[in-house]
Amino acid sequence: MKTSLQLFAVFILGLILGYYELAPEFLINNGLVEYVLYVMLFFVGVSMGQDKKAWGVVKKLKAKIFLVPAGTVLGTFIGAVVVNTLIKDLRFIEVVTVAAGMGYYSLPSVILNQLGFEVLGVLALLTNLFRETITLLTTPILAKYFGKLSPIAAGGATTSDVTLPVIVEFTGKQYGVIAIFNGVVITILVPFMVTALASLL
Amino acid sequence: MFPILFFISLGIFLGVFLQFKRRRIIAWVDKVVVFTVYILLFLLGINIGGNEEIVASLGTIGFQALLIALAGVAGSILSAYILSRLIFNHEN
Repeated sequence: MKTSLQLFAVFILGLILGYYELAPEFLINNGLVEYVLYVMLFFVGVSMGQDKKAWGVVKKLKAKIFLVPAGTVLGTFIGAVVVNTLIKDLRFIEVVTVAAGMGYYSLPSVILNQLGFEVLGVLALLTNLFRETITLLTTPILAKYFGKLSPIAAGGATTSDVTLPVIVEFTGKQYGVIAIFNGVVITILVPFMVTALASLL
Repeated sequence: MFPILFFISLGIFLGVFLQFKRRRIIAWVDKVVVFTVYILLFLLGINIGGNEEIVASLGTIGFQALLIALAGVAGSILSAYILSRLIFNHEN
C-alpha cells in the first residue's frame, strides 16, 4: 500500500511538472522513457537470470502456462462486454476494439489512427495507458489480496516490459518468468486482434 | 518489440553468468530495478502532463477510457483468480 502511494505520488508529481512546463527540456522527450525502459529491462533480466529457481516454473507448468495469456485476454473481453452496458456513447464493437489493446497503448492507437478512426485511436491510447498505470500503481495490493497471478492478468501486454519490474518486485522472480511469457504472447496477439476487430467497425 | 526482447535477453544472459560470481552485485541490481520504476513513472507523468491533446481530452474521452481500462483489469483479475484457484493452487 505504501509503495503504491509512493509510486502514485511520483507519477502525479511528473504530471504537474509536465502540465505547468516546469520540467527541464531534456526530460520532455519520449525517447528518454524508451531508454530508461531498456536500462530497466536489462537489469530485470540480470536479476531473473541469476535466479535458477525462477526458470523451474516454466518446466513445472509446461503447457499450462498458456492459460495465463488466454485467461487475460478472455477476462478482458468479458470486462468489455459488461462495461459496454454502462457506456451509451460508444458502440459495442468500439468498446471491444479499444479493450483489445490489452494495455499496449502505442501500437493500437497508431493502427486505429491509420485506419481512419482518429477519436477511437485517442480513446485506445488513454484506455491502455490507464490500464498500464493502474497495474503499476495497484500491483502491491493486487498481489496481496487477489493472488500473485492477478497483477500479471491486469497488466496484459505490458507485463513483459513496463510493468515487469514492479511485478517481479511484489510477486517474485518465478512470477516474473510467467509475466514475461504472458506479455510476449499478448503483445504479439494485440496488433492482430485490433486490426481484425477494427475491420468490423 | 525487438529492442525489448534484446535487452531482457542480454540481461538474462549476463545474469545466468553472474550466478557463479559475486552476491553483492545481485543485491545492487535489485535496487537499480526499484529505482528505475520510480524514474519511469515520473517521466511518464511529465510526458502525459505536457501533452496538451491528452490533457484536453482527459475529461471527455478520459472517463470512458478509465471505465474500459478498469473493466479490462477487473475481468482479467477475475480470470486470474479462477485460474490460480483451479490450476495454480500448488502455490499460494
